[in-house]
Parts: sequence; structure tokens; C-alpha cells
Amino acid sequence: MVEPNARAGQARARGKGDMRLLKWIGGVTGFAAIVGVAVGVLVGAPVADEVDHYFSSDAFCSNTCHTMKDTVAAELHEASHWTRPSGVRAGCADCHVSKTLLGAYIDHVKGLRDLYATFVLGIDTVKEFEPLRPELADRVRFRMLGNDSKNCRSCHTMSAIRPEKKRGQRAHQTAVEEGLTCIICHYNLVHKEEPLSPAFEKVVAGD
Amino acid sequence: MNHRYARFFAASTALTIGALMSGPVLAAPPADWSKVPTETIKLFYPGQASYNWVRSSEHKRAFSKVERGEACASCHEDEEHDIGDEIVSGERLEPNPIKGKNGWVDLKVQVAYDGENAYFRFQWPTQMDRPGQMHDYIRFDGQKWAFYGGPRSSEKVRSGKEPPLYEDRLAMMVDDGSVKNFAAHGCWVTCHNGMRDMPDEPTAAEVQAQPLLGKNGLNEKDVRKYLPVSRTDDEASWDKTKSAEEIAQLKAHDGFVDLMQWRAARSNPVDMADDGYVLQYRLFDEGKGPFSWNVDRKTMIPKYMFDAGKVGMKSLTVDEIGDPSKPYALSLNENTAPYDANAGWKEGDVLPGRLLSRADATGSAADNKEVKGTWANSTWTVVWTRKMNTGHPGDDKILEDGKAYTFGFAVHDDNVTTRFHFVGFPVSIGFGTAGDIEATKVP
Repeated sequence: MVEPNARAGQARARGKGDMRLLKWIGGVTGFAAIVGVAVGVLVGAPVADEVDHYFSSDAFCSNTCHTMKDTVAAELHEASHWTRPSGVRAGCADCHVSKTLLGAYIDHVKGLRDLYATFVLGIDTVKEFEPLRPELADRVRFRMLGNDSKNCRSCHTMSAIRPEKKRGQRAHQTAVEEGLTCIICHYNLVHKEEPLSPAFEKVVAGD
Repeated sequence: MNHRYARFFAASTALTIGALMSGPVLAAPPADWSKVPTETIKLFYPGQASYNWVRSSEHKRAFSKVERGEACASCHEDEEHDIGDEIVSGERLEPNPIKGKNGWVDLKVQVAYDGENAYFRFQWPTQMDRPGQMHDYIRFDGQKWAFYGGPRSSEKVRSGKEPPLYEDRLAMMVDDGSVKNFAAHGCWVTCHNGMRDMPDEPTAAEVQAQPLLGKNGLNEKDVRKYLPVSRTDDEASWDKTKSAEEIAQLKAHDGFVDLMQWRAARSNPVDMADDGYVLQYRLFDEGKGPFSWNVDRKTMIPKYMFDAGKVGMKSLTVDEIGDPSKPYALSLNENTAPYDANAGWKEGDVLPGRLLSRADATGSAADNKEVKGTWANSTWTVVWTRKMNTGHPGDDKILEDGKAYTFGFAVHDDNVTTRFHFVGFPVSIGFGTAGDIEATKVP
């Protein structure tokens, strides 16, 4: 017969063993987690970043599909956002892909529909692209309207803009006073001029 | 002569002299213009900024303001030089820029009036160091006559094949409030896609086939200024004209813009400006204006040459074009002689292809008979007398003391025509009332 004290001692010993086991498991798990996170950070983040970098590159955006290369990319290459004497250039993603990694991934996933349009719907020539331009332009304008022209503002600081001409100075003064976002005025930048949809016309007119 | 007759004669003579001396002084421009305030109107190069363009989203956010009838100047006051410089460079709205052309010109305007006339004095600098008073010249090539020179926008001048020869002009449009939006947008109300040298220009055949403008109507081969009210669609398309009856109704109710042009070659030599109006087209008033053709354009045979007995030469030579000591225009019966095909014409002889006549100018088209431009120090000065009431309300705007009118001014400088001119935003001129310019009342 075991003495109660002895049972208590055994129980304590067992309890200590359990604790040790738990600690050990906890330690291993914690270590694994740290290693995992470390590996994740050290390997996963750069990979994620590289993946984003690739899918945000002009090489991917403007050269993968003929339609982009022969239309909007060609237009960009003629635009002042591309031809600055200083050599500073805005690429496709600077205006069209979110600046946060998560946001960028959402945009890349959304971009899958372009693959769908190209390979399933067969929209892979300029002739087929042009009829869609009004709708696509409208979509981009409303996106910029919805996010307060976030991508414009990632490069341009409104309060620091000093237009050279009186027209620009006055327009910016109005924009600041009335809280107008960039796309309200700059709706035909970079790409071929595209008339506004009736819906966006209403937004611009302030109706 | 008995005493009674002598007294009657003396009294009659005295009364006649008295009446002449105390009668109304002949109305005349102010003797001293320095007493009339000078306003400067900034004219600028508009390129292809048509009525259609200013109402499109290419006109940035402003398209909705234009449609609401807000004035151009409500945004663009003092921006004229910037706009002109930008467009003339070809940066926008000018697909075929003229190298080296100025982007703007400042027009000095003085306005006075009395019970009978309005008096205008205009001054503006010219880009060329010579007055542009050569127009539609014809040159003998040894066999036949052919047009020589032209506006700077023409290919033969751009390529250097022929010299720039085109008259300088000053144009003014006037409205009394009858024409929608003219007070806000001025000349832009009259300028449309489809016109000469504007986007979407139709072919001559297309214009000829248009019922109102073509061979069954005005018999025109191109489209010139018109008012939106003369068209049926919202875009005021060149070919969507209202019926002749509807347009006649509009005209009868003052629905046109008065348009007068001083022309350095085609009116100034006979101290005139032309007189027209804009409604369904840019048309001349009833009657006969100061100029016509001096050459049959099918046979290219001239009608008149210079009278050697009066001016010492029967024609110019190419080298004498622009020589201030030589005549430059043919004024019927003043310096003309009937053309003589056997006068020993040599290659390089030049005649004006236009014939001017003050004496033959009649009717409403001849309302501007007191207009004189002089060119000195690279500046034109034009003094223009226009009757307040021309007596032709059917195609003129009648000016009244106590009222203000909207004026649009334009200058064609340095051998250009059509869109290659300088235009200003509209200004109001008040006669005995407030205006951007208040006319000075003179005795």
C-alpha cells in the first residue's frame, strides 16, 4: 500500500514530468514557429515580393499580351509620364496596381480576368480591344475615384504641386478648396483620349 | 436789281450762310484719340478649339460649365497668352503648326460715339516687318497667268515653293443679346468641326450635296462660320441645317451675329471694311461690297491692269512685291486700265487677282465706308466709323445709345486665314451704359 504522501509525491513527479513534456513540446513548437516565421520571412516574403514584382513589371504588363503592347503601352511610351528628361518614369503598375503587398495580390488575382478575356473570350487583337476601351477606361476612372486617386498620390503630393501656368495654378487651387481628387480633372492622362461615360460625366460635372 | 430784290437776296444769302455755319457739325472720329480710354484685349491663337471641342470632355472639367453657359473668361481671364503659346506650338489643338508663329497679339481698342456714329480705333503690332496687303496675286509664267503665293498654312508656302502672300485683317462680331451664349462664348459659338481647316472637314462634293449649303442652296463648296441655332442637333453638325423658312424666321428676329472685316488688301485701299453676318453660314449683307475678282478663274485672263499713265507701271514684278513705293491693289477707275493681252507681258509680271471699287459698293454690304488703316513702325492703326443705325436692320445690329453690346474681335496676322488667326474672348461695349469698355461720348 502506498502512503498517501508517497502517492502525492508520485503525482507531483508525474505532474512535473507532464510539465516538462509540455514545456518541451511548447519549446519545440515555439522554436518551430520562430524558425517557420523566420523562414517565412526570410524566404516567403522575398518570394512573395518577387512574384509581385514580376507581375507588376512593365515587361509582364505590357509585353505579355499583344493588345497591351500595341495599344495602352505604346501610348504610355509617348506620354509625358514616360518621356521626362529627368528619366523618371511611371510604369503600368505605378498607376494600376496597389502599393500594399496584400492590395497588389488582390489586383493580381483580379488581373486573371485579363487572361480569361484573352484565352477564353479570344480578345487578343487591337481590333477586338478597341471596342472595350470605353468600358475599361470607365472602370479605371471609377476605381481611382473610389480610392481618392491613391496611386497618383503615391508619387505626387498635392500640397507640393506648383503648376507653371496660371490655368494649372487656378485649377489646383479649386481642387484643394473643393476637395477634388486627381481623376476628376486628369481623366485623360497617358493613354489615348477616351470620352467620358455619362456616369463619369455626371461625377466630373458635380451633378 | 431793285432794293426789294437786293434786300431779299442779301437776307437769303445771310440765312444760307447762317444755316451752314450753325447747322449740325459733320460727324467725324475724335480729333484727339488720346482723350478716349484705351483697353487692351488679349487675342490668342485658338487652333482647332471649336464649339464641339469646348463642349467636350477634352476641354477638361470645363465642358459642363460651357454647357451651363458660363463665360470663357470666368476661368480663362489673363490666361490668353499661355493658351495661345501652348496651342501655336502644336502641343495641343493644332495638328499642323506654322513654325515661328506668335501665339498671341494684344489689340488696343478705343471706342467713342455720337448721335450718329460709333468710332473705333484699333492698334496691333504685326509679326512681319511689312504690311500684309498682298492678296490673291497672279503671276505671268511666260504663257499664262496663275495664282501666286498664299497663306502660310498652304503647302506651297510651307514647302518654300511660293512666298507667303495673304492680307492682314481685323474682324469684329457684334450681338445685341439675341444669340444664345454669344455674350459668354463669343466667336466660339460660330466655329465648328466641319469648317475649313477644322476637324472632320467634308469634301466639296459632300457640301454641294447638302440641300441648304450645296448646289441647290447657297452653292458653296466648303463650310464656314455658322450659329448652332441654325442646326437641328445638339452638336450643331455642319450638315444638320434647319429649313430655309426657319432660318429666314431667325434672321427676321435678329437671330444672327453681325460680322465686319477690315481687310488690308481687299477693303483698305478704298477706305472700307466689308459687312456681313453669321447665321446658317458666313454671308455678306445685301448689296455689293468693296471687292470682286480681277481674273476669270476658268480662263485665268485678267480684267484690269494698272494704268501706267497714273502709276507708272502696268504691273508689278515678283521682286517688287512688298515694295512700299509701288502700288499693291487695283482700285477701279483710280489706277486701272482694261487688261491688254498684247501689252508685252513677261515672265514674273504680277497683277492683283482682286479688283476694288468704292463707287460700285452699294446697299447694306457697303455700310462700312469710313474705315482707314495705316501701317507704321510694324503696327496697324485702323480708325473705323460705323453708323449707330445703318438703316439695314435685316442684316446689321443696330446700336442704340444707352445699351451695351457683345463684341468679338479677331486679327489675321502674318499671311494667314481660317483657324490660324488670333481671337479674343467676348467683351461688352456700353454706349452710354456700363460695359467692359464704355464708349466715350463725343460732341
